[in-house]
Amino acid sequence: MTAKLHIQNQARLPLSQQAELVIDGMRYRFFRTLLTWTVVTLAVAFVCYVLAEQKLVDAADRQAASRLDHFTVIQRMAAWIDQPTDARTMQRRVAQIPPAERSTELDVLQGLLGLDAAATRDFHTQASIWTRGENWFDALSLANRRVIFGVTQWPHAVEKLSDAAALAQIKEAASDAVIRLPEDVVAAAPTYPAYVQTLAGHVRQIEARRQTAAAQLRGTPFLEWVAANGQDESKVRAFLESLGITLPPQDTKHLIEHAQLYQQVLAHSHLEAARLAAQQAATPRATRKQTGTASSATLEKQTAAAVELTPVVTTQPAIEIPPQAVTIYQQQTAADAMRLKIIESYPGRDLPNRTPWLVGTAFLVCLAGVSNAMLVSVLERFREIATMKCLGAMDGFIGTIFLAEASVIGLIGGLAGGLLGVVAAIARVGWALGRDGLTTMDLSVMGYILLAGIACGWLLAVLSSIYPAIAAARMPPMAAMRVD
Amino acid sequence: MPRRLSDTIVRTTGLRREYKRGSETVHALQGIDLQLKRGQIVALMGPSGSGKSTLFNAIGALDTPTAGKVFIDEVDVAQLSADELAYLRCKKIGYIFQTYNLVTVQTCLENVMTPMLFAGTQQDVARKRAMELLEMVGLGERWRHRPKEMSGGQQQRTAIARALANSPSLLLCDEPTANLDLHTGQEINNILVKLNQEHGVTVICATHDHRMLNLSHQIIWIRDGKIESIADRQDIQIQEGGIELTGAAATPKTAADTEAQA
Repeated sequence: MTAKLHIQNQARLPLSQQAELVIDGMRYRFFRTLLTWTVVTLAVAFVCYVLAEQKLVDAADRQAASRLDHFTVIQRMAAWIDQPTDARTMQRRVAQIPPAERSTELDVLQGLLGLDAAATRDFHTQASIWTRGENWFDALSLANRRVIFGVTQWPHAVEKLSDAAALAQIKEAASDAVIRLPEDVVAAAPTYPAYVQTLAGHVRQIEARRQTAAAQLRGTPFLEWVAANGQDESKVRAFLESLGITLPPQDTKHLIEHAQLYQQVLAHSHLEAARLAAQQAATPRATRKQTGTASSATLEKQTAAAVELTPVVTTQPAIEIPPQAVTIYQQQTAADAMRLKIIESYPGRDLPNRTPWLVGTAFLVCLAGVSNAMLVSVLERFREIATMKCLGAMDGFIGTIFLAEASVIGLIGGLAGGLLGVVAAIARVGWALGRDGLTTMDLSVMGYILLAGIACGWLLAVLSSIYPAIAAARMPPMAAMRVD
Repeated sequence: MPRRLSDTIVRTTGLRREYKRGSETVHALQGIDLQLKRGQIVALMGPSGSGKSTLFNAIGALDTPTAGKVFIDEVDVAQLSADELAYLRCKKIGYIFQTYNLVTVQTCLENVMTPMLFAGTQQDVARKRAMELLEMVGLGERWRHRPKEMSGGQQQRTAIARALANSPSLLLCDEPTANLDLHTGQEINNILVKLNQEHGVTVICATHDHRMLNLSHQIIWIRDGKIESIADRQDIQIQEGGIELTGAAATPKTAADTEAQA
């Protein structure tokens, strides 16, 4: 006859005792604990570094890009509103290319740009390089572009393509969202005859809009009109909307500021030109009066010399740019420089994202390492575990002890790794992009990455110790006995 | 209502244990029938490979038999779940190992307290009882020492105190004196005997120590997985054999003799 076993008062070890067991266990095998902790820390540090660096560089890039966007928006709008001839010229040129001759891309391009074959080929090569053959139709609008502070009109721009700063600026203009070619144009790109037709249609559309604008402007250059009507922001916005352009409010303000500044620059240069013209007009008479009976030869020579000088002077007056314009220009060049620095320091940014692979590899390596170390720990302590079971420890309790040990290591390792990774990323970005690159650093994002690091460390440690914990829980109590 | 305690504390019927070593099956126990009475000191003897350890594990609820039954206090061990087995080991059986198996990171007192905490005793109650037990084995002043600060004999005494923590009915000793010197070993044996006489604890000892044989009530011999013989203490005569010195080695040399020679 078998009796039943009555289980009374079976309880787990009190929590403080459990905690003591875990901590003492770690302390006793301190070196191995340290090793496990280091593996977790390094893996988490690596992952946090990669994430933080990405976020920091993205933030700096976004800010620089948005700064450049402002300028390019304004410049491009001014460009295509103010140059009536170019749209018509483009249309005419497109119409002039005989259908039979619209065979190669280069020919079409040449017809549209109105440049010689060599220059066209140059442009095509450069455009294909930095737009990767995708968006170069947008670049055609560069033919209309008039950059205010330095890069001049199209033929000079071709030379300046080798200038990296201008290149970055032009690249920005090409990806401008304000004037975007319609989907059908982009889709038709590979088939050139069709493309030419759709481009012609698009040109017609632009021309129509421009004529509407011209009707409203009545011969005033666009920026001058904006500067004059700058007090009434809604009026400016209404005008833009009639052209099919919707700007965010901040950009409208920016546009007005920019326009007013530009007017000052122009006014200053007009004044200069007027002054110099007056000077030129005054000089020969003055010279004639003074010399009187002087030899006409020397007089003529002097006049000729004066005349020779003045064209150079008047056509290129010494423009003194007002201080605010200087700031804007500096900001623009700083934004350019930042984007260049980013491109130089992180050349692979636009490539397919390898981060998930890196993160996955780091985690796998960490899992393997910690798993191994914990398994060794379990096997080493077989006698201790078996004795505990003889004293009444339940299987689950033993497993919990090991999981708890791993949790502690994971949390501390995650914290240390997170801090290490984030600080290293900040240092690296600061070194690569300068202090300006760190002005966009968002500490809350860094904080989230740190928290993610702690969570990852804990998860890694616990996952890798699941198998060792199960092995410990399954340890037979008779392992406590001596081996026969 | 408490059960009436039966006379037999451990009972096995047709106990068989086989396990695989590579491709071969080792028949460690080949049909063992045992009845061990309460309150006795039983010595298990047998050469290595005889199945002594396997039998020991089986009756100590450390291993499940392949065939046959083991009853501890009339409870069929094979029917118990893992948690119930843990409870059985906690409350009913105390273990004493050859290698003491104390937890090195805990003090002497904490070691003795552990089984009581597993059984659900309150911490202060457990502490008080642990102190009493330590005093009983003569380690009252050393309660705060760690195992590595104690000698082998002291560690074994701590282990005995720990084994008694939950007042088990059965004490299983696996070669308790094998790692101890003669004098300390004798002390341990005396403690075990004292426990048996004063507290009525059944002691089952797997041992080679003939002084333990001298003190036990029943001796069981195992050979080749079967019980060779069971005998009561009074029915056997223990002769202490030894090595007799003859010839030149007969007279022990002293330092004076060596000097005289030289």
